Amino acid sequence: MDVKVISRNVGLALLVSALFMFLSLVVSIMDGMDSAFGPLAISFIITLIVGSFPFIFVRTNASISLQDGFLIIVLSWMLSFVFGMLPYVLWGGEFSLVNAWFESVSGYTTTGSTILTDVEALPRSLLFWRSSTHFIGGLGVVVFLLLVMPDTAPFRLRLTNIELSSLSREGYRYKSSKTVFIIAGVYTGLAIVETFFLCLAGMSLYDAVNHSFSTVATGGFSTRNLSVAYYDSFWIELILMVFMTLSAMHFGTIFTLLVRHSLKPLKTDVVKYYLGSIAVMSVLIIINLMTQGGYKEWWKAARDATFQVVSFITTTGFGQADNASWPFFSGIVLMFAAFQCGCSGSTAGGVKADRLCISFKAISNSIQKRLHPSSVCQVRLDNHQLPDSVVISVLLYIVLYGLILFVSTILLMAVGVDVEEAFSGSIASLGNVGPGLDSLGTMGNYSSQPFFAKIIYSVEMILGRVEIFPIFIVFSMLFHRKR
Amino acid sequence: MVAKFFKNIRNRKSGITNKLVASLMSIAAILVLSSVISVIEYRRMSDYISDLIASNINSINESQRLVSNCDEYNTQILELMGSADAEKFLSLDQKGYIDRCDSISRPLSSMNLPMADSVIYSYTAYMLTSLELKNVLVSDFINSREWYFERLQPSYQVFKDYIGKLNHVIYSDLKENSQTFQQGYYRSIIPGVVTVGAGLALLLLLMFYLLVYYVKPLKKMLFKLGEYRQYGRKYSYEFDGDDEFIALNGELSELVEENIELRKRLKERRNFMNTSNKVN
Repeated sequence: MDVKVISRNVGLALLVSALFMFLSLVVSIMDGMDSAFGPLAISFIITLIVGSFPFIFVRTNASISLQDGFLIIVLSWMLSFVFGMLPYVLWGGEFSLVNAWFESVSGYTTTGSTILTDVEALPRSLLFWRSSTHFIGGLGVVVFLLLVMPDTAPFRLRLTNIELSSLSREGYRYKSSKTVFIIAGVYTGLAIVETFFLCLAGMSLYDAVNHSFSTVATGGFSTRNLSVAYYDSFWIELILMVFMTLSAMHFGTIFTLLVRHSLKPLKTDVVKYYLGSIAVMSVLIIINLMTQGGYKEWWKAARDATFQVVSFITTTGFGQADNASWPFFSGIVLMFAAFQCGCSGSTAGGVKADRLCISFKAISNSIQKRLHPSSVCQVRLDNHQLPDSVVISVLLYIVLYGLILFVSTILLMAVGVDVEEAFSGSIASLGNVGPGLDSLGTMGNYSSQPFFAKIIYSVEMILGRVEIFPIFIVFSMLFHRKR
Repeated sequence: MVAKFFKNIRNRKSGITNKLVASLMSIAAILVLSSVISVIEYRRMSDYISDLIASNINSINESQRLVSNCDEYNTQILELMGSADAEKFLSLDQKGYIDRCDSISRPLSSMNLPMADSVIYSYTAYMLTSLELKNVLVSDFINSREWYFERLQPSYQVFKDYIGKLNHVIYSDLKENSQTFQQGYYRSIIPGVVTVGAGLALLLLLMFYLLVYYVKPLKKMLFKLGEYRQYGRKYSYEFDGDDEFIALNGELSELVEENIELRKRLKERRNFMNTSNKVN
């Protein structure tokens, strides 16, 4: 374990947070030093000092081992959560200790679930900080951090391998050093273009920036109590839907689309599966809403259903209609969307469409094999034959994901959460979606959840954001050391 | 431009003094901040507690005053009935009474506000009943005792019951407020804890850096010098850094090289002298 390298890189991650705290401070000054000025200023100075401290001594960056890489990722997240909750805690209001922790974790992990019953009561600068945590977390503190360090190729390679799903590397064979810049370019570009379009659709610049941060990070924090429903604008909803869908696709796909001016990347198995699942789920919910949901007009049902499906499957979690009043079947479809989520190589959480696509193909192969025992069946993705090790790791991940969901649902029920909320809250938190069902729905919040439930949800969010394994690896490293 | 700025910062060399001053100043700043946070949070908590206690005590006092005023009023009515003098009838200060009711309901949570309303309604019912007193006193057909015990007294009892319930509600609100205070207490100490924790972490890091960048190289340099002096081994030692320590190591390395060279020459000279002596 190289403390010098770890401290330097974790410090850099904190400096990114400090930068956005400073920007929030600027917003506060522009608003005539609102009530969040003091909390933001203090938090900024503390984060800046702690973040820049390692740079006093560690001037150059050395190469990094895989173990150090895992430690950097986990420590960067954890410290970002702690320092990110400072502005909330210092501001007070609805932010009790556990609420501030929950909000910070929810922001950085781009989950977007909130404990706030009145979002609009917060000063604009604090709301900006809240959205900024999405933007920072969206790309992963560590990937973000790599952008600021252009001279560490081996380091970058290793961290990219950890941070991004291995599936994304299978599908897109970019050089690792390039991948980071591609992701960053697409990410920032999407945010800028979306802000522009939202402004055109009638949103204020401030709201547009905040909603863009939330959308590209597939987070879901809004500056309004009613979320997107506040605007009641078809164009705003359409723009958000398009950008949510894009943000949950592999950023390499979007980059290739833009650079090559070709629709070929959209014809991959994963993208077809992802877009197809959005269409199927939307149709199912539209039919359900028309037959059992009390909707009178097709277009209204289509608008609400499509927006909510896109919002859930991309793990954004914006609210445009109250899904708590929808029939149970629609809720279950939304929960499946929250389980599956978007593509790997994006900021979406969940199991990922890639894994489900592969697992469905593996199941289909298994059936074929039983029907024709002597046949040779291999799982193929876009004419690439997937090795058995990849298929097994995909299936293992899904099993582990399901196991964590089951255990956390049981734990939530044990601390007093009812079945529906425990189940949907677990799926929504582990998948970094945000809203669940019942009182946790798109128009609800997590404020009424018990203390320990909030802790469980935040642990799930962290596990979901880092795709479970890094946390377990760090723990196993610690135990291994002890032995 | 930004990249150039960062590159300049990265390439800029800083001496030991700068590094130590910067690191110690950082720790000092963190300590100052933690004390500032402590003061701010203490003041906030102090104000919060004062307001909380004051409002709760005030509402309890007001409800007690309400009850005693009504008791007094009720006794006056009883006295009036004894004297049968309608002119002596005293009216209660209704505006003051309603103000008192408002001051009771002010610190109550929204869930308990209906209880304050119930008190006001029962009071109104009682007052309306008490206003019948004038008619009762002048009427020959109504038995004033019957009116008092069967009509006025029950409404007074209802009113007193509600006052009792309101007191209970105020106490339960006080309990909830103290729980909120407990939560607020934990919330308020956390920034201080984080800052102090950060300060401690920085101290540990500083200790680590001092050990890694100064103590360890110093020991290694001494060891290498000892090796050179004892066994005449070449001094070769390199470590990370960009400060005077690196320069010192470089100078030391050069000095040792020079010394080796000089010793080599001296040896050659001595050999030469010995050879020439032997020849002579």
